[in-house]
Amino acid sequence: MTLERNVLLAFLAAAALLPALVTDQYLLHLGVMALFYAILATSLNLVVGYVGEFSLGHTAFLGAGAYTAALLSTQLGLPMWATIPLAGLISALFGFGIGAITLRLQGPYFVIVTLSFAEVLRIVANNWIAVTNGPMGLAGIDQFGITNKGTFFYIVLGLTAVALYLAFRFVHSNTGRAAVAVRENRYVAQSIGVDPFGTAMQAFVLGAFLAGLAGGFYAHYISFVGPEVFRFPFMVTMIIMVLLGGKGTLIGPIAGAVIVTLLEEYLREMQELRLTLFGLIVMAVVLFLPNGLMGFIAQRREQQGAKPAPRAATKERTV
Amino acid sequence: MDLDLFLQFLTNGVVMGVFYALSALGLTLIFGLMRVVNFAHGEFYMLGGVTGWFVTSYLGLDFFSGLALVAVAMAAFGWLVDRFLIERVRGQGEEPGILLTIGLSIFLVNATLLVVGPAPMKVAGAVAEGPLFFGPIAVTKLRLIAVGVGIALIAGAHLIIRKTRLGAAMRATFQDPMAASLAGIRTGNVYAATFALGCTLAALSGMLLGSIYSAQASVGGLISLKSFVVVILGGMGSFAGAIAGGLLLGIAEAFWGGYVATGMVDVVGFVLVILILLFRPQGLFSIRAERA
Amino acid sequence: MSAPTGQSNGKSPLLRADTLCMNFGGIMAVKDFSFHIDAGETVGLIGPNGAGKTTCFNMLTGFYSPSNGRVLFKGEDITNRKPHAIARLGLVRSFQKTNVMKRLTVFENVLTGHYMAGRQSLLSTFFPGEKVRRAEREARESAAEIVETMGLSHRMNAPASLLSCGELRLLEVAVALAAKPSLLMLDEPAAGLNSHEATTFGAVLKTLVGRSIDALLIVEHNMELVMSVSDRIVVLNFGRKLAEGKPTDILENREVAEAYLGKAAA
Repeated sequence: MTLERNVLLAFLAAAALLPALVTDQYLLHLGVMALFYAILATSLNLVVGYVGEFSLGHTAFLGAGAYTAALLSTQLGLPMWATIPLAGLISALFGFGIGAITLRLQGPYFVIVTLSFAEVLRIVANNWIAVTNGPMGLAGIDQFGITNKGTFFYIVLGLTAVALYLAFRFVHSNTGRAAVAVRENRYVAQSIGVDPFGTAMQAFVLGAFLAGLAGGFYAHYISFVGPEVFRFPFMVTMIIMVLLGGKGTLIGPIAGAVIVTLLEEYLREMQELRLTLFGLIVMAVVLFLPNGLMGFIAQRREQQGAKPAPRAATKERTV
Repeated sequence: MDLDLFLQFLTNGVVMGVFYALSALGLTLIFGLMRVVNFAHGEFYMLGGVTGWFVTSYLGLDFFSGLALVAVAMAAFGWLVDRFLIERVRGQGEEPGILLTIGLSIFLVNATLLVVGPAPMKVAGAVAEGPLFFGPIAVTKLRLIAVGVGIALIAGAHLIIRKTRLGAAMRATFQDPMAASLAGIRTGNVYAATFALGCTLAALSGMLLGSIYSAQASVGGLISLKSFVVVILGGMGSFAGAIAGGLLLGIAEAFWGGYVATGMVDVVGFVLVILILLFRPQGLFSIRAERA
Repeated sequence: MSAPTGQSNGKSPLLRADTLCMNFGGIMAVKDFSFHIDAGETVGLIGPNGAGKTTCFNMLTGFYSPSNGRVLFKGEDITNRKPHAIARLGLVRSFQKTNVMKRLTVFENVLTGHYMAGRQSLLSTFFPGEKVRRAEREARESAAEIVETMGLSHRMNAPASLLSCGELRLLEVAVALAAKPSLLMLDEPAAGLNSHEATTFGAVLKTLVGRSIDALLIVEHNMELVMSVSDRIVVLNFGRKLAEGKPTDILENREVAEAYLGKAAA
């Protein structure tokens, strides 16, 4: 717990130095995107890693946040310090509504229905021209004259710090332990007084809030929001970050976000080949790094811990 | 209300419904029975269309020989996918399977794009184009043939599951894999065979519908989503359910598109799924005995 | 002024079940089961395999909805309450299998068991005040203490997946005790223990009532253990109550012997 906290603090501190060391706008852009994805991956991890339900509809909250900030900015002319938090709150409301329905389901049903919600929102955004401007999207979102990527970098770094603080507090609280209990053994959790639905809901709403913040930032940073924010490829990127890094840990998704952002950028030149390789990498991660990088590190440390390696505990699922 | 128009919408809906059912059949086996949340389903479908285009236009086979060749090739492909990928994550819950198939789907789409490019490819049809009229209702001949072949495929798959030794082994394995393997059934082969059959059905419907619309590398995502909708509407793992689910979706979409709004047709399926899982989580057409 | 307030409660039992029935698609797993537990008692629930003991457990703790009958706990009707709501009233149970969180350490398991004492609002999760911090400290201290009482201190930071069978059984009880129950219900807590381990385990169980908990209900197949810890035994057979009484009386009961021997001979 202290180790985890120190690593996260060190990460934030190191990130804070980046704009001082690098002035190249392109590299700063990569930094901004890595942190943006770090927030998303952290928020998704709350659901996938700590509640243990596999959500494929997290783009619903990213998109809700992005559209909220875009509309508040273009229609009402609100400033960024108001639009981003409001984006988070509206997104949290969406999380509450969607969670109320989906968290009653489990396994494949949960997967498909969360995905369905994201798709419904995408189709609505695509067709409700009066509000969302349809496929054309909302362009010209106010950037308040910020032209230096370094400034955006500090804004998104601030949001990342908020996200990590909230996630850290949650995960290491009584409620966070209850969420893990539900993930590990739903029956035992109930027998010690944990309401599985209520606990999952808290994690779900927090995840939605953080994804909404990220979406709000994205709207201002890119200065454009279209129905693509709800699309599946966004979802795939997020989920791969969480899994590559290691779900159920706070450091893993951050590491995953940084690695995948850089990897995607590195392969950007060759679109199809890039994605072909990407698909192969995803399969390789599932087969060879099932618990992500963090799981791999933990395993290595365990093995070096002198003891004769105990028989690997087989992953058990209760009925 | 205009009765002719109503009948035309209904006909369109039924034809679409059969196509939906057809494209979801493979998923009924893989998702419904094997419980692999297969996000590569749409890509199996797409591969069927693309290889169908290849064998008919490059190898010059006629439609039905092409269909047979595609069936054999895709069965082998499905077998290998199960043996080399899916088998390694069997029994670990749905999560690794989802990721594995997402990875596979990304790989297949983009590898196909690399090889054949993004343009639509027309699979040579079994008969010439041209509409048939039944009173006021128009249906193209090609669609009628496709519906016919589709029904034959559904019946064939049904026979395999109900009447053959393989089918019996499948039913035993999915009810109780432990007991099945104690009874001497090689469950590994049964899983692989089921996956291969699911893959083949997806590919054949891809080729069949590729002769009506066209085959295209990027079509898979939409097919996967619609098929999930159909399988859940039908109640997981029954062919009859998939057919009913497909018809329901096709007809609902046709009427929504005809009478309400054309833009949001794709929303219908998702809304249906959300409503059904809310009020009837076991699906519309299945009775699932659930223990507390 | 000197009214014996404790005594007025003493009249009504801690837990009372009236004519519970459980019907699984036409099969009566339990029929007209009535019984009670008073504060201060340890009650053993025994019966051959399939007699309906676990079904009873599930009905008493809200995991099954009885087809008929009702359950009163501390005078309150809890018949169709949710399991977690019942646990919050002070009725905590264990399960026959998978009773711990395997990937967490012994300490984390027991700490998690303290959930109810530290329930908090979402806001106080993010901005913990002194109250929350104190609750957290107390939970950690109490968890360490419980681990020690159960004799697991040397395994404090071992993942539960690495424990021996005997240690697991103790951990299960430790997690349940962490929830500070009034009535503790254990479902086959000694399954898989050898006779030596079972004796030690029985000794631990005997110290609980009156000190950590008000009453104990156990389902157990190990006759020696259950007879030695229980004040009263209830026998179930084919979903019905066959006999009830002191352990010595039950041992001499002909019907009970037949129910068991008949089963054994078959």
